[in-house]
Amino acid sequence: METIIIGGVLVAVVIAIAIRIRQYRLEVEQEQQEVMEAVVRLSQEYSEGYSLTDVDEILKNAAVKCLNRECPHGLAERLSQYTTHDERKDSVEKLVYQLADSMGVELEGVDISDDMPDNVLGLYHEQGYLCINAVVMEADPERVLMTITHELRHGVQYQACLKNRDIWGFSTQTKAIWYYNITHYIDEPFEIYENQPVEYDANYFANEVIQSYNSRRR
Amino acid sequence: MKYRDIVNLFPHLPKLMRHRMLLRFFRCTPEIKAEIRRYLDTEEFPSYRVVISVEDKDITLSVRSLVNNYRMTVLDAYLFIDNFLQPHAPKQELLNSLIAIRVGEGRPKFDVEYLRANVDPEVKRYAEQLEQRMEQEAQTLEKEAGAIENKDF
Repeated sequence: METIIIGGVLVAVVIAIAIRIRQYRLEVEQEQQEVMEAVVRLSQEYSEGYSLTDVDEILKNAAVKCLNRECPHGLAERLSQYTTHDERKDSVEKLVYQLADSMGVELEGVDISDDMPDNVLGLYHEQGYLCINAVVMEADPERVLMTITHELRHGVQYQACLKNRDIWGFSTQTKAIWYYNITHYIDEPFEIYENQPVEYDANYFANEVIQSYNSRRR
Repeated sequence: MKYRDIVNLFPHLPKLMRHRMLLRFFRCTPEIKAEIRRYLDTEEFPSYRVVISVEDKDITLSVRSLVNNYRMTVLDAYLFIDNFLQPHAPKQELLNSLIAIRVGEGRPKFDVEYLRANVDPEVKRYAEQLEQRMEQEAQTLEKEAGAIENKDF
Protein backbone atom coordinates (compact mmCIF):
# COMPACT_ATOMS: atom_id res chain seq x y z
CA MET A 1 0.00 0.00 0.00
CA GLU A 2 2.80 2.32 1.04
CA THR A 3 4.63 1.62 -2.22
CA ILE A 4 1.52 2.51 -4.20
CA ILE A 5 1.12 5.82 -2.34
CA ILE A 6 4.78 6.72 -2.78
CA GLY A 7 4.55 5.73 -6.44
CA GLY A 8 1.43 7.87 -6.86
CA VAL A 9 3.09 10.87 -5.22
CA LEU A 10 6.15 10.43 -7.40
CA VAL A 11 4.03 10.26 -10.55
CA ALA A 12 2.16 13.41 -9.47
CA VAL A 13 5.44 15.22 -8.80
CA VAL A 14 6.85 14.14 -12.16
CA ILE A 15 3.68 15.30 -13.95
CA ALA A 16 3.77 18.63 -12.11
CA ILE A 17 7.42 19.13 -13.06
CA ALA A 18 6.69 18.17 -16.67
CA ILE A 19 3.83 20.68 -16.80
CA ARG A 20 6.06 23.41 -15.33
CA ILE A 21 8.86 22.59 -17.80
CA ARG A 22 6.38 22.76 -20.69
CA GLN A 23 5.06 26.11 -19.43
CA TYR A 24 8.59 27.41 -19.09
CA ARG A 25 9.48 26.26 -22.63
CA LEU A 26 6.35 27.91 -24.00
CA GLU A 27 7.23 31.14 -22.20
CA VAL A 28 10.80 31.02 -23.54
CA GLU A 29 9.55 30.23 -27.06
CA GLN A 30 7.07 33.10 -26.88
CA GLU A 31 9.75 35.49 -25.69
CA GLN A 32 12.12 34.31 -28.43
CA GLN A 33 9.35 34.78 -30.97
CA GLU A 34 8.74 38.33 -29.75
CA VAL A 35 12.45 39.09 -29.92
CA MET A 36 12.57 37.77 -33.48
CA GLU A 37 9.61 39.95 -34.43
CA ALA A 38 11.41 42.93 -32.93
CA VAL A 39 14.54 42.09 -34.92
CA VAL A 40 12.51 41.90 -38.11
CA ARG A 41 10.99 45.29 -37.35
CA LEU A 42 14.40 46.77 -36.68
CA SER A 43 16.23 45.26 -39.62
CA GLN A 44 13.58 45.86 -42.24
CA GLU A 45 11.76 49.11 -42.75
CA TYR A 46 10.41 50.02 -39.33
CA SER A 47 7.48 51.65 -41.09
CA GLU A 48 6.11 48.40 -42.52
CA GLY A 49 2.80 47.64 -40.89
CA TYR A 50 3.27 50.31 -38.23
CA SER A 51 0.15 51.44 -36.40
CA LEU A 52 -0.89 52.91 -33.07
CA THR A 53 -1.48 50.49 -30.21
CA ASP A 54 -4.28 50.88 -27.65
CA VAL A 55 -1.80 52.61 -25.33
CA ASP A 56 -0.87 55.05 -28.11
CA GLU A 57 -4.53 55.75 -28.85
CA ILE A 58 -5.17 56.75 -25.24
CA LEU A 59 -2.14 59.01 -25.34
CA LYS A 60 -3.18 60.49 -28.68
CA ASN A 61 -6.69 61.24 -27.44
CA ALA A 62 -5.31 62.94 -24.34
CA ALA A 63 -3.07 65.13 -26.50
CA VAL A 64 -5.85 66.00 -28.96
CA LYS A 65 -8.20 66.85 -26.08
CA CYS A 66 -5.60 69.19 -24.62
CA LEU A 67 -4.98 70.90 -27.97
CA ASN A 68 -8.71 71.33 -28.55
CA ARG A 69 -9.08 72.89 -25.13
CA GLU A 70 -6.06 75.16 -25.31
CA CYS A 71 -6.09 76.02 -29.02
CA PRO A 72 -9.65 75.47 -30.23
CA HIS A 73 -9.00 77.59 -33.35
CA GLY A 74 -5.35 76.79 -33.92
CA LEU A 75 -2.10 78.05 -32.46
CA ALA A 76 -1.98 81.06 -34.80
CA GLU A 77 -5.28 82.29 -33.40
CA ARG A 78 -4.08 81.72 -29.82
CA LEU A 79 -0.92 83.71 -30.49
CA SER A 80 -2.79 86.52 -32.25
CA GLN A 81 -4.18 87.56 -28.86
CA TYR A 82 -0.73 88.76 -27.83
CA THR A 83 1.09 91.82 -29.06
CA THR A 84 4.69 91.12 -28.15
CA HIS A 85 7.11 88.34 -29.10
CA ASP A 86 7.82 87.58 -25.44
CA GLU A 87 4.13 87.19 -24.66
CA ARG A 88 3.75 84.74 -27.52
CA LYS A 89 6.78 82.81 -26.29
CA ASP A 90 5.24 82.62 -22.82
CA SER A 91 2.01 81.36 -24.34
CA VAL A 92 3.77 78.59 -26.26
CA GLU A 93 5.82 77.65 -23.20
CA LYS A 94 2.61 77.33 -21.20
CA LEU A 95 1.10 75.22 -23.96
CA VAL A 96 4.13 72.88 -23.97
CA TYR A 97 3.72 72.30 -20.24
CA GLN A 98 -0.01 71.70 -20.61
CA LEU A 99 0.48 69.24 -23.45
CA ALA A 100 3.29 67.49 -21.55
CA ASP A 101 1.02 67.22 -18.53
CA SER A 102 -1.79 65.71 -20.59
CA MET A 103 0.65 63.16 -22.08
CA GLY A 104 2.25 62.38 -18.72
CA VAL A 105 5.70 63.62 -19.76
CA GLU A 106 7.80 65.10 -16.98
CA LEU A 107 9.62 68.21 -18.17
CA GLU A 108 12.50 69.84 -16.36
CA GLY A 109 12.34 72.93 -18.52
CA VAL A 110 11.11 74.54 -21.73
CA ASP A 111 13.08 76.96 -23.84
CA ILE A 112 11.38 78.90 -26.63
CA SER A 113 14.65 79.93 -28.14
CA ASP A 114 15.54 82.84 -30.43
CA ASP A 115 18.97 81.36 -31.10
CA MET A 116 18.24 78.11 -32.90
CA PRO A 117 19.19 77.66 -36.57
CA ASP A 118 16.30 78.40 -38.95
CA ASN A 119 15.95 74.85 -40.12
CA VAL A 120 15.83 73.34 -36.63
CA LEU A 121 12.26 73.32 -35.41
CA GLY A 122 12.80 71.98 -31.93
CA LEU A 123 14.55 69.31 -29.93
CA TYR A 124 14.23 67.09 -26.91
CA HIS A 125 17.31 67.58 -24.81
CA GLU A 126 18.83 65.46 -22.03
CA GLN A 127 16.57 64.73 -19.08
CA GLY A 128 13.37 66.45 -20.02
CA TYR A 129 14.35 69.79 -21.57
CA LEU A 130 12.39 70.78 -24.61
CA CYS A 131 13.48 73.55 -26.98
CA ILE A 132 11.30 75.18 -29.62
CA ASN A 133 12.50 77.56 -32.31
CA ALA A 134 10.88 80.96 -31.60
CA VAL A 135 11.44 82.14 -35.18
CA VAL A 136 9.47 79.19 -36.56
CA MET A 137 6.85 79.84 -33.87
CA GLU A 138 6.27 83.29 -35.39
CA ALA A 139 6.54 82.22 -39.02
CA ASP A 140 4.61 78.97 -38.96
CA PRO A 141 2.76 78.36 -35.68
CA GLU A 142 0.83 75.32 -36.91
CA ARG A 143 4.07 73.57 -37.76
CA VAL A 144 5.25 74.20 -34.22
CA LEU A 145 2.37 72.11 -32.85
CA MET A 146 3.67 69.14 -34.82
CA THR A 147 7.17 69.80 -33.48
CA ILE A 148 6.02 70.03 -29.86
CA THR A 149 4.09 66.76 -30.16
CA HIS A 150 7.05 65.06 -31.86
CA GLU A 151 9.49 66.17 -29.17
CA LEU A 152 7.15 65.23 -26.33
CA ARG A 153 6.84 61.76 -27.84
CA HIS A 154 10.61 61.47 -27.48
CA GLY A 155 10.01 62.29 -23.81
CA VAL A 156 7.51 59.43 -23.60
CA GLN A 157 9.96 57.00 -25.24
CA TYR A 158 12.80 57.97 -22.92
CA GLN A 159 10.73 57.98 -19.74
CA ALA A 160 8.99 54.67 -20.55
CA CYS A 161 12.33 52.85 -20.65
CA LEU A 162 13.32 53.97 -17.14
CA LYS A 163 12.71 51.76 -14.12
CA ASN A 164 9.22 52.29 -12.65
CA ARG A 165 8.54 55.25 -14.94
CA ASP A 166 6.32 53.66 -17.58
CA ILE A 167 2.99 55.11 -16.47
CA TRP A 168 1.40 54.26 -19.83
CA GLY A 169 1.89 50.48 -20.00
CA PHE A 170 3.90 50.03 -23.19
CA SER A 171 4.90 46.46 -24.04
CA THR A 172 8.39 45.30 -23.08
CA GLN A 173 9.05 44.68 -26.78
CA THR A 174 8.27 48.29 -27.69
CA LYS A 175 10.38 49.65 -24.85
CA ALA A 176 13.29 47.35 -25.69
CA ILE A 177 13.25 48.58 -29.29
CA TRP A 178 13.26 52.20 -28.08
CA TYR A 179 15.99 51.51 -25.53
CA TYR A 180 18.17 49.74 -28.07
CA ASN A 181 17.64 52.57 -30.55
CA ILE A 182 18.31 55.38 -28.07
CA THR A 183 21.53 53.69 -26.97
CA HIS A 184 22.48 53.07 -30.64
CA TYR A 185 21.12 56.29 -32.16
CA ILE A 186 22.11 56.88 -35.78
CA ASP A 187 22.54 60.43 -37.13
CA GLU A 188 23.33 59.48 -40.69
CA PRO A 189 22.76 58.36 -43.38
CA PHE A 190 19.36 59.94 -43.66
CA GLU A 191 17.74 56.72 -44.95
CA ILE A 192 18.60 54.94 -41.72
CA TYR A 193 18.07 58.01 -39.54
CA GLU A 194 14.50 58.72 -40.56
CA ASN A 195 13.44 55.08 -40.34
CA GLN A 196 14.99 54.32 -36.98
CA PRO A 197 12.31 53.40 -34.46
CA VAL A 198 12.29 56.44 -32.16
CA GLU A 199 12.18 58.89 -35.07
CA TYR A 200 9.65 57.00 -37.11
CA ASP A 201 7.48 56.53 -34.04
CA ALA A 202 7.69 60.21 -33.04
CA ASN A 203 6.77 61.35 -36.55
CA TYR A 204 3.96 58.84 -36.84
CA PHE A 205 2.51 59.75 -33.46
CA ALA A 206 2.74 63.51 -34.08
CA ASN A 207 1.09 63.13 -37.49
CA GLU A 208 -1.77 61.15 -35.97
CA VAL A 209 -2.32 63.72 -33.23
CA ILE A 210 -2.25 66.75 -35.53
CA GLN A 211 -4.46 65.10 -38.17
CA SER A 212 -7.03 64.22 -35.53
CA TYR A 213 -6.82 67.70 -34.00
CA ASN A 214 -7.25 69.38 -37.41
CA SER A 215 -10.17 67.16 -38.37
CA ARG A 216 -12.03 68.06 -35.18
CA ARG A 217 -11.40 71.77 -35.75
CA ARG A 218 -12.98 71.73 -39.25
CA MET B 1 33.60 50.99 -58.39
CA LYS B 2 32.02 48.21 -56.36
CA TYR B 3 29.04 48.31 -53.99
CA ARG B 4 31.55 47.61 -51.23
CA ASP B 5 33.18 50.98 -51.90
CA ILE B 6 29.86 52.75 -51.44
CA VAL B 7 28.90 51.15 -48.12
CA ASN B 8 32.44 51.62 -46.84
CA LEU B 9 31.54 55.30 -46.78
CA PHE B 10 29.44 54.49 -43.68
CA PRO B 11 31.96 52.77 -41.39
CA HIS B 12 30.00 53.69 -38.24
CA LEU B 13 26.94 51.64 -39.15
CA PRO B 14 26.21 48.38 -37.33
CA LYS B 15 26.41 45.34 -39.64
CA LEU B 16 22.69 44.92 -40.11
CA MET B 17 22.25 48.59 -41.03
CA ARG B 18 25.22 48.30 -43.37
CA HIS B 19 23.45 45.44 -45.14
CA ARG B 20 20.33 47.59 -45.38
CA MET B 21 22.27 50.41 -46.99
CA LEU B 22 23.88 47.98 -49.38
CA LEU B 23 20.47 46.77 -50.45
CA ARG B 24 19.25 50.34 -50.72
CA PHE B 25 22.02 51.30 -53.14
CA PHE B 26 21.45 48.05 -55.01
CA ARG B 27 17.81 49.05 -55.53
CA CYS B 28 18.61 52.54 -56.83
CA THR B 29 17.29 53.48 -60.24
CA PRO B 30 19.89 53.36 -63.05
CA GLU B 31 19.62 57.15 -63.36
CA ILE B 32 20.57 57.77 -59.74
CA LYS B 33 23.30 55.12 -59.81
CA ALA B 34 24.86 56.90 -62.76
CA GLU B 35 24.63 60.23 -60.92
CA ILE B 36 26.21 58.79 -57.77
CA ARG B 37 29.03 57.23 -59.79
CA ARG B 38 29.69 60.56 -61.48
CA TYR B 39 29.70 62.39 -58.14
CA LEU B 40 32.08 59.93 -56.46
CA ASP B 41 34.39 59.88 -59.48
CA THR B 42 34.60 63.65 -59.97
CA GLU B 43 33.82 64.88 -56.41
CA GLU B 44 32.14 67.86 -58.02
CA PHE B 45 29.06 69.21 -56.28
CA PRO B 46 26.12 67.85 -58.30
CA SER B 47 23.78 70.11 -60.20
CA TYR B 48 21.31 67.24 -60.53
CA ARG B 49 17.66 68.20 -60.33
CA VAL B 50 14.44 66.49 -61.25
CA VAL B 51 10.84 67.62 -61.69
CA ILE B 52 8.28 65.35 -60.09
CA SER B 53 4.50 65.49 -60.34
CA VAL B 54 2.61 65.25 -57.09
CA GLU B 55 -1.16 65.53 -57.32
CA ASP B 56 -1.07 67.59 -60.52
CA LYS B 57 1.63 69.89 -59.22
CA ASP B 58 5.17 69.93 -60.57
CA ILE B 59 7.83 70.15 -57.90
CA THR B 60 11.53 70.53 -58.53
CA LEU B 61 13.84 68.55 -56.28
CA SER B 62 17.54 69.19 -56.45
CA VAL B 63 20.52 67.80 -54.62
CA ARG B 64 21.59 71.36 -53.86
CA SER B 65 18.31 72.32 -52.17
CA LEU B 66 18.23 69.14 -50.09
CA VAL B 67 21.81 69.66 -48.98
CA ASN B 68 21.42 73.37 -48.26
CA ASN B 69 17.94 73.43 -46.76
CA TYR B 70 17.86 70.10 -45.00
CA ARG B 71 21.56 69.58 -44.42
CA MET B 72 21.51 66.18 -46.04
CA THR B 73 24.74 64.80 -47.41
CA VAL B 74 24.95 64.51 -51.20
CA LEU B 75 24.40 60.75 -51.03
CA ASP B 76 21.41 61.22 -48.72
CA ALA B 77 19.96 63.69 -51.20
CA TYR B 78 20.42 61.30 -54.11
CA LEU B 79 18.71 58.49 -52.19
CA PHE B 80 15.90 60.81 -51.14
CA ILE B 81 15.28 61.79 -54.77
CA ASP B 82 15.60 58.16 -55.81
CA ASN B 83 12.64 57.34 -53.57
CA PHE B 84 10.49 59.55 -55.84
CA LEU B 85 11.76 57.80 -58.96
CA GLN B 86 10.91 54.31 -57.78
CA PRO B 87 7.82 52.64 -59.27
CA HIS B 88 4.69 53.30 -57.18
CA ALA B 89 6.50 55.85 -55.01
CA PRO B 90 4.27 57.39 -52.31
CA LYS B 91 5.25 60.88 -53.46
CA GLN B 92 2.94 62.91 -51.22
CA GLU B 93 4.05 60.92 -48.18
CA LEU B 94 7.68 61.48 -49.13
CA LEU B 95 7.12 65.21 -49.44
CA ASN B 96 5.40 65.26 -46.05
CA SER B 97 8.42 63.57 -44.54
CA LEU B 98 10.48 66.61 -45.43
CA ILE B 99 8.44 68.65 -42.95
CA ALA B 100 9.42 66.37 -40.12
CA ILE B 101 13.12 66.31 -40.88
CA ARG B 102 15.28 67.21 -37.95
CA VAL B 103 18.70 68.34 -38.94
CA GLY B 104 22.03 68.39 -37.16
CA GLU B 105 21.62 70.07 -33.83
CA GLY B 106 17.88 69.51 -33.93
CA ARG B 107 18.14 65.82 -33.31
CA PRO B 108 17.22 64.62 -29.85
CA LYS B 109 19.95 64.54 -27.26
CA PHE B 110 18.99 61.71 -24.99
CA ASP B 111 20.96 61.25 -21.80
CA VAL B 112 22.18 57.81 -22.77
CA GLU B 113 24.37 57.25 -19.71
CA TYR B 114 21.52 58.06 -17.33
CA LEU B 115 19.25 55.77 -19.29
CA ARG B 116 21.76 52.92 -19.21
CA ALA B 117 22.09 53.31 -15.43
CA ASN B 118 18.37 53.55 -14.74
CA VAL B 119 16.73 51.40 -17.38
CA ASP B 120 14.03 48.95 -16.41
CA PRO B 121 16.01 45.66 -15.95
CA GLU B 122 13.41 43.70 -17.89
CA VAL B 123 13.70 46.12 -20.82
CA LYS B 124 17.47 45.86 -20.68
CA ARG B 125 17.42 42.07 -20.67
CA TYR B 126 15.04 42.05 -23.61
CA ALA B 127 17.16 44.58 -25.49
CA GLU B 128 20.28 42.45 -24.92
CA GLN B 129 18.51 39.48 -26.48
CA LEU B 130 17.46 41.76 -29.31
CA GLU B 131 21.04 42.80 -29.89
CA GLN B 132 22.28 39.19 -29.91
CA ARG B 133 19.61 38.19 -32.39
CA MET B 134 20.44 41.16 -34.60
CA GLU B 135 24.08 40.13 -34.63
CA GLN B 136 23.10 36.58 -35.55
CA GLU B 137 20.86 37.87 -38.31
CA ALA B 138 23.63 40.10 -39.61
CA GLN B 139 25.91 37.05 -39.71
CA THR B 140 23.38 35.03 -41.68
CA LEU B 141 23.03 37.87 -44.18
CA GLU B 142 26.80 38.16 -44.55
CA LYS B 143 26.93 35.73 -47.50
CA GLU B 144 24.13 37.47 -49.42
CA ALA B 145 25.65 40.87 -48.68
CA GLY B 146 29.04 39.63 -49.86
CA ALA B 147 27.55 38.62 -53.19
CA ILE B 148 26.29 42.16 -53.78
CA GLU B 149 29.31 43.94 -52.31
CA ASN B 150 31.63 42.61 -54.97
CA LYS B 151 29.43 43.57 -57.89
CA ASP B 152 30.13 46.69 -59.93
CA PHE B 153 28.03 49.63 -58.84
